[in-house]
Amino acid sequence: MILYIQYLKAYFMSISQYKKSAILTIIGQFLTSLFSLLGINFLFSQFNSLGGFTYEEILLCYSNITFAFSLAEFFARGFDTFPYLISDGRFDRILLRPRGAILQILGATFEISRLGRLFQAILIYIWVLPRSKIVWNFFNIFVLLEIQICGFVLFVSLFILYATICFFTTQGLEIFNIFTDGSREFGKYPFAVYGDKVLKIFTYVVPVACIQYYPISYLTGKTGNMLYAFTPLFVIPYTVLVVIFWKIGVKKYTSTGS
Amino acid sequence: MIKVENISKSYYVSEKREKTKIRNLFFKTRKQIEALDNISFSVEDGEMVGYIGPNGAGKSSTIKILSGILTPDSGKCTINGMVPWEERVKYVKNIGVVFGQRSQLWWDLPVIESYNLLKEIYKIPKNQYKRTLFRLTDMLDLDSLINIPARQLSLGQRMRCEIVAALLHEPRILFLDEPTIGLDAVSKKSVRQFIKNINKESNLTLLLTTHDMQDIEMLTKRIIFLAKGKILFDGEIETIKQKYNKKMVYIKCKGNKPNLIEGIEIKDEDEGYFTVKLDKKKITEESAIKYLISRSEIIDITSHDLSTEEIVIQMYKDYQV
Amino acid sequence: MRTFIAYIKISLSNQIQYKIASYAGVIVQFCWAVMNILLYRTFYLSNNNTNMSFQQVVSYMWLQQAFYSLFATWSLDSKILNSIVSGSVCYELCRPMKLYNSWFFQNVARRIGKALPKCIPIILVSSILPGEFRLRWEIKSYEFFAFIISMCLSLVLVVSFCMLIYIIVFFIISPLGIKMILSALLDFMTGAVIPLAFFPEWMNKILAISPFTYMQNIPLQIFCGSIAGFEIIYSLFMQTIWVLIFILVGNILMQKAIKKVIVFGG
Repeated sequence: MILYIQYLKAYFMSISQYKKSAILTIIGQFLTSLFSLLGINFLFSQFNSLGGFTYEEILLCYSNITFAFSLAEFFARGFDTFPYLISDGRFDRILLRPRGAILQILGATFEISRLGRLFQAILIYIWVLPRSKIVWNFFNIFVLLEIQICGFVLFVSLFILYATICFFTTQGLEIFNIFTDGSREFGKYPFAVYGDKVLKIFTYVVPVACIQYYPISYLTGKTGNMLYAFTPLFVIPYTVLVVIFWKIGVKKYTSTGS
Repeated sequence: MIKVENISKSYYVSEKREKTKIRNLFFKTRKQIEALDNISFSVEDGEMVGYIGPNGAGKSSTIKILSGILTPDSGKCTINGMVPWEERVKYVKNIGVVFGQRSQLWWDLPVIESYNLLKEIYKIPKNQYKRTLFRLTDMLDLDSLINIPARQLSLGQRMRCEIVAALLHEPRILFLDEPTIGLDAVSKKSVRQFIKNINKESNLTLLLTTHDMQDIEMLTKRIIFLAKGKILFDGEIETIKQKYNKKMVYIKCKGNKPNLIEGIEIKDEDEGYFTVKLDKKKITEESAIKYLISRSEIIDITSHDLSTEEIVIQMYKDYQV
Repeated sequence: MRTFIAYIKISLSNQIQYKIASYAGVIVQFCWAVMNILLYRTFYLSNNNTNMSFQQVVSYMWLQQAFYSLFATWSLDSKILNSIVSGSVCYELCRPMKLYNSWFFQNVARRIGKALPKCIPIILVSSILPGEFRLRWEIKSYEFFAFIISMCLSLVLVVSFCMLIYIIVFFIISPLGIKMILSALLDFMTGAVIPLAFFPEWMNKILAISPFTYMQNIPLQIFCGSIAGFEIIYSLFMQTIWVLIFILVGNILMQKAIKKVIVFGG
């Protein structure tokens, strides 16, 4: 943990050298998600609802995903850019050090521009939470926090999964963007609106629906099924699997050395 | 033919401050740097000239001016009857430029593809292109290389291909900006041989900047020595060699070091042995040997000429650059 | 013209080096289109009375993904950007060709080289899909002709716009931030986020006199049949006007940029 804070400090110190550029990229990211928000707004001015969800409910889903995804991107950017880490030999250096590889990669780089999205997600929360018809009891607050934390963990493990695949193939990696970038893009809406098959994929293969469609259905009173409130916890065994998979990948990398 | 007269060029460089102050947002402290200061020289057709000098001497600025990329503040320059920075597009058809640190080949594609593109860019007629390409690849043994993607070539091979790329449109003048930079000894040798062949075959005028004195020694008779934007020497390498022609004489002796007389300097001392250097202005070899032999046992006498490298180091010292 | 064809040839063969990436790109683009169509299908359940019919949206989405690399405004050539930042641009200045034209050709060629291997399979597959997912070819022959012309104009418009960005990079050293802001803005204004047809009336009125609506929206709408008749001719005219303006401004700025390089040495 101390090491990690050291990494973070070093990063912020190096950023301050390029303040102007950093601020511009934050603004850029803020605009990107602002426009994506405007897109939702425009669509809802044409259509009244989306698969039974109201505008406010969609926004809640949108801010959940944006918050968790950008937080994960901020911290786990090193996994997102993992192919470069391997190709320029930095990963070899990481393996030489007596600390865990995951921690070092997490510390290798941060992506400050994502703070722009994060900030926006918070603004939407401020707007949407009073307007949503959620009953604010302890349990519901717990569910909301559960969504955030599990969402963050889920996206970090998706990035790790993406990096793990680099151990096995270096070509055609773009396909896996469907699951990383795709979950951010299409996770703005509860996955149920894409139909049953898509919902199943995003429940069992990439469990993003576990942090949006199911718990939000519970929060907004669309279902009384308590199980739906606990679906975000499914992320935990998923993450364990991903880390095991990662370890296998590292073992393969160190034994073949390629 | 290249004719350069009294060319000067200065840059403004904004100074970087250690601390960021608010006023730096509004005012830039600028510093004027004389990159070139009243430079004149001329090069005959078919001549090969080495352009040398320490970093920041203005070598690259000169090449840029001669190739039409940079406009000087003052001075005249005519090359093949044209002023480089006027009518740039027309002018560059007659020159070839190779920047050693940059590549104009497409990284992922076989070299020949880049050549074919250059053919269209320079609007080279088909027959002429075929002939030139055949001549260059044949003469320089590149047949096997041009079908390999550039990224798979070694640095030396790539540099040879870069040079061919600059020659496809049959320019009469070729500028080479540090063609051997970053190459290993063997590749350097092959690139040099390559340049030599081209010059011999096609009577190209060649201007070459380099840090590597062996390049100069192997390729050119004439050097232009530049430092701090001024030409300090322009002429045959031999002239300068003669000027600095101090034959160095070292004598190694066995025994204890005696008191030394004027003109004999101690260079090395080791258990029971010592080596001295003679200053031939002050003492002849004969009297030095006589002096030493009477006091110790002479084991070895060595003498050698200064290499170009050493001369240049000497010149750097003399001109305090 | 021959130089241009040579550029197209080399960028196509460059693209072939990345075969697997191209296949992967096709799959990504395909999934993107499917997901969008599924989303809009659900939207249309709540209301059917909009500027575009669901069928038109389906065609729009397919074409948008098929020609994604052709019109993506943020897709700048890193080769050119690097050449400016690192100074390799001096090589191009040593060639008997105007830098503007050389870059312009390179960019058009690069986009065609990237789009061609992707658009063919996507259009083929989407045209034979069952039911409401199919890309409908309900276009009249003169409309198709207008669609092709409009596509070319859009491509040229996007490239001439990107040329301005490259030239700006000459003047500022770190282009990343500007690039991010511009690409966010452009993605939205050109209709890459949602089709412009779903924008409020007042915004469309503003966009109609801006260049953005002409960068991909117009050809796609012509194909879907959501604009027709005189509107098509007017749009083609506006596209041409904007192309001319951008090329003119680009050339003027380029001259200034080159002068800066020539005077200050880059």
